Amino acid sequence: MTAPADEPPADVPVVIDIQGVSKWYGAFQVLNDCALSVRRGEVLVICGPSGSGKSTLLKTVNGLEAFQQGAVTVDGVRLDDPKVDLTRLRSRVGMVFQHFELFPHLTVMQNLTLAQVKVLGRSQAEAQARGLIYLERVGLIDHRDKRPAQLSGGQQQRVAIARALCMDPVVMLFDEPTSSLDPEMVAEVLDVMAGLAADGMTMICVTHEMGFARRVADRVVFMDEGRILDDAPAKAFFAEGGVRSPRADAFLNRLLRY
Amino acid sequence: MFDGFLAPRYIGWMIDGLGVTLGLSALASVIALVLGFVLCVLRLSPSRPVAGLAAAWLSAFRNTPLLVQLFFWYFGVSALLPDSLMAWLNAPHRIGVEAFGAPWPPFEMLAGLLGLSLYSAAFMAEEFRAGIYSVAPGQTAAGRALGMTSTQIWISIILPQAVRIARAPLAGQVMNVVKNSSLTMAIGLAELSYAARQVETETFQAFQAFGLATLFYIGAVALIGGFSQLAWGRSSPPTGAAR
Ligand SMILES: Nc1ncnc2c1ncn2[C@@H]1O[C@H](COP(=O)(O)OP(=O)(O)OP(=O)(O)O)[C@@H](O)[C@H]1O
Ligand SMILES: [Mg+2]
Repeated sequence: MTAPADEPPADVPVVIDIQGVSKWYGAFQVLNDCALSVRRGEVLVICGPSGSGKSTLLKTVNGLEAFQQGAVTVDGVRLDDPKVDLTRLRSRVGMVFQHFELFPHLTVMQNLTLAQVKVLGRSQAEAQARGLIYLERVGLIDHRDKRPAQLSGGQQQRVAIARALCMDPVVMLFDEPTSSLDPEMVAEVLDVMAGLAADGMTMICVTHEMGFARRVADRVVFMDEGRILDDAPAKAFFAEGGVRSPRADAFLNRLLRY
Repeated sequence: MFDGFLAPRYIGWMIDGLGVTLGLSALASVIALVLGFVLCVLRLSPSRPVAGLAAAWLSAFRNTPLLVQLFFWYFGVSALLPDSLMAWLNAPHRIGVEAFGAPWPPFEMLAGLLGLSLYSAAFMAEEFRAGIYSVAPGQTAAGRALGMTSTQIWISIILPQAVRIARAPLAGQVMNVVKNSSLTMAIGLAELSYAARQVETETFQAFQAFGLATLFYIGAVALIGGFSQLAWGRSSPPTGAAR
């Protein structure tokens, strides 16, 4: 790490704590002693070259990826605690995927209510009421009865964000949420994300949208070859001659060349 | 040389044959769909021995000729079963279904139904499996990320999509059942092809007999196609522009 993040006030609780996490696929090490902690309301952007382990690190947070070493704590609960109900815990960690992963056989509203009913045990009416709140919020209330295939990519991703929000997550994870979108749809998704950040949602975003990172993120994490090389306040990271590892510097230069 | 239409009596034979074909095919299709689904689930079992056994079963039934399988059930099994059981199976008795007045089916009917069902089930199992495999793996990840259990993901996310994907090929398999049912004439089942052959032997009107049989088969298969279109026209997801 090249620079310590300037600590937010110590009384803000840590929501995500990743300590010394390492993971191997056979002999290939995907994550190398990763450590990260995210406080409530913080917005973190993770960037780095393809294959550097960003998605893998993100998925350790909701237990979608197992790891061999280290510890992950979510909202005070350790993932490797044998008493932990992983499905319960996952329901409180929202995740948004690169390819949306809406359920194509269900309507938009059914996409939002399915897990609320099955996992949280809410009634249909409760689940729909909450669904409407979040559809309104992502600006898609008129599309509630459509199927995902009838929506544009940007609209689908906004539905996916609403679906995750319906579960009342303590943190939202975004894995390259705009990289499969046509350029004209990127902004509508980033706007929704910026709105969430402004409302105080804790967020970890893997993204190469450096404009978003500069404007919305509190901290920027740079990964390469399974290691966290930089973890710095966004301002410091992006400043001219800012605190950056040489690799992050090279990565940024490549990204910003055009 | 065209020598007139079939006499009504012979058309009656053919219609009786068509009835047997349709009844046999409908029963075999239902059994094969249910059994095919079960076999597919076993084939995908996390237990290696179970999955392996199911795979062996499926390839045995898919990779041998149906005619041989029918002979196996008709001649082979009747040679293996104790004489008393065979006598009982062949006896013209009525059980359970008496209220409906349905006669106990002849042994060739039982053997034909069994053979056709088992053969078709193996093909349907593979259609189910292809359907399950073509559901995007990201769908499971999405379900897990929402906190759903494996069972919930299977029931609410994977199976509905897999069935939608598999239903057109499955309808094709039902059409195959109708066509393949003609092979049961080889074990003496009086279905449509058998009837056509009988009419031809009796009347020497080969063109008319087999022509009519062909029309009946085309009609039956078209009916299945029509039904499936009707059923899915209502339940399939609308695509394209907004409603
Ligand atoms: N199931 C797997 N088996 C073996 N290697 C894997 C597996 N999944 C991922 N990897 C490897 O792990 C490394 C990290 O993958 P990961 O998806 O986390 O990278 P990433 O930083 O998200 O990349 P991208 O920007 O392309 O999404 C890659 O080199 C990838 O090839
Ligand atoms: Mg990735």
